Amino acid sequence: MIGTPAVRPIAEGLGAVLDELPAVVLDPAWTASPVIETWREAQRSVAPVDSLVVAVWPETVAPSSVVTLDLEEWSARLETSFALWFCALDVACDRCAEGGQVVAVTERPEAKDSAGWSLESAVADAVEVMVRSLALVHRSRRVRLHVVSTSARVGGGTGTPVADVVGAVAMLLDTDAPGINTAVIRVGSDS
Amino acid sequence: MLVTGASGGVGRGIAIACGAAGWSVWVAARRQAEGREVAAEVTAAGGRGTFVECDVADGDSVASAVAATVAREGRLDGAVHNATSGRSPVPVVPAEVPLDHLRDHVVVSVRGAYWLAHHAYPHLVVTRGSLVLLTSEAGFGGTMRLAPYAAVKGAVRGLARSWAREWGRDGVRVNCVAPLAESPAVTAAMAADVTMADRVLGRHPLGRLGDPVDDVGPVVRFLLSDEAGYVTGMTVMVDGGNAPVT
Repeated sequence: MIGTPAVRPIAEGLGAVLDELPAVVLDPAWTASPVIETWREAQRSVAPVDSLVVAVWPETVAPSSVVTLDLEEWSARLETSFALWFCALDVACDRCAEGGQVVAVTERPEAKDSAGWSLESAVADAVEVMVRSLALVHRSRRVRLHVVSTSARVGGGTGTPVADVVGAVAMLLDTDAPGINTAVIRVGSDS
Repeated sequence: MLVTGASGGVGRGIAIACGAAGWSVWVAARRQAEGREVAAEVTAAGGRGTFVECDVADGDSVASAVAATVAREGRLDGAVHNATSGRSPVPVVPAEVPLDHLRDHVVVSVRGAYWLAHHAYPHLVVTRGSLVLLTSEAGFGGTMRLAPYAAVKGAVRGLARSWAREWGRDGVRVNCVAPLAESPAVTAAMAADVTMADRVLGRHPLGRLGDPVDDVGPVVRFLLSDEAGYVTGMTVMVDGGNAPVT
């Protein structure tokens, strides 16, 4: 599994090793982006595996209003997540063996409860699109990608992240259904 | 109302379509000569076009453009974020996208939406106005060769969905439009990828790209108008039925 420290319980629930992403926070100029680039390049030489789970979750989450949010916080929260997700998914596809699978585990606010959670909604939508793009890119290698999302920590969520996620990820990775690609499973969702 | 990225392509079409309804349209763009031409086209169409220099990546620039609009008009009824990175039509392999290129996509499309929302909101509350963000078919289904562009267009949809919920009680509506239209960006993308035209139009119900002025602009104008007073949180596909979304 590739992810941030916040998703370690999910890795443990899956019985996976967590390869931690670099602990960076992007400022508006993305000054720390070389740290991400260095990590990304180093991952190219890692041995391939059959399946990888990716989850870029911040340590804590809180609602915010774009009207009062300043640029530093916007970059630190939305742009950092966006950049890490893009690189982590790219790396995961590269590390994934032919015929393998990548599952992205996102935090998606419930649509009806998404007021105040625009940063998280934006990242969740972006990740779904990244997954679909990468599925097209890696189709020739029969690498498939899916999304599991939970609202457990964000708008409208109930339940616990680990319980929400582990079973759904395990189902996708265990299933013998090579025709399923870019599946999106919203666990614990009521909308 | 104010349109970012309005010096050409879809933004120009939106500005002219709004001008045709007699509206006062502020053409916000970095390119002065082209922006002034579009402002003149808005006036020629029956509205009142004004160019204002604006770099959506720069918060102060967006604040100035909004302030100039409100200072002259006394109000802001609508704002449209259309600007995208100049890298949007450039085919890429995701593994080879450097982060400074990714940042450029994010800063123009997503941060630009943030800046426009941030600075326009206080004025839109007063008028119970409307914000429209331009997304794309790619922002639903992804693309093989334009992954960063697709991703930022997806992010924009997420912003609009939440802001619609956040601002609805204040009377401010937020919607997205996903056009598929003739534009310099689409022309450049098709030139850079010879298979794109067939992929895009080969199974297109209408067999053609949309016209920015006649096909896309009126839909954005509708969303900005009082006639769309009960429409918010939507992404309206203006793609000739191409994307199998609905």
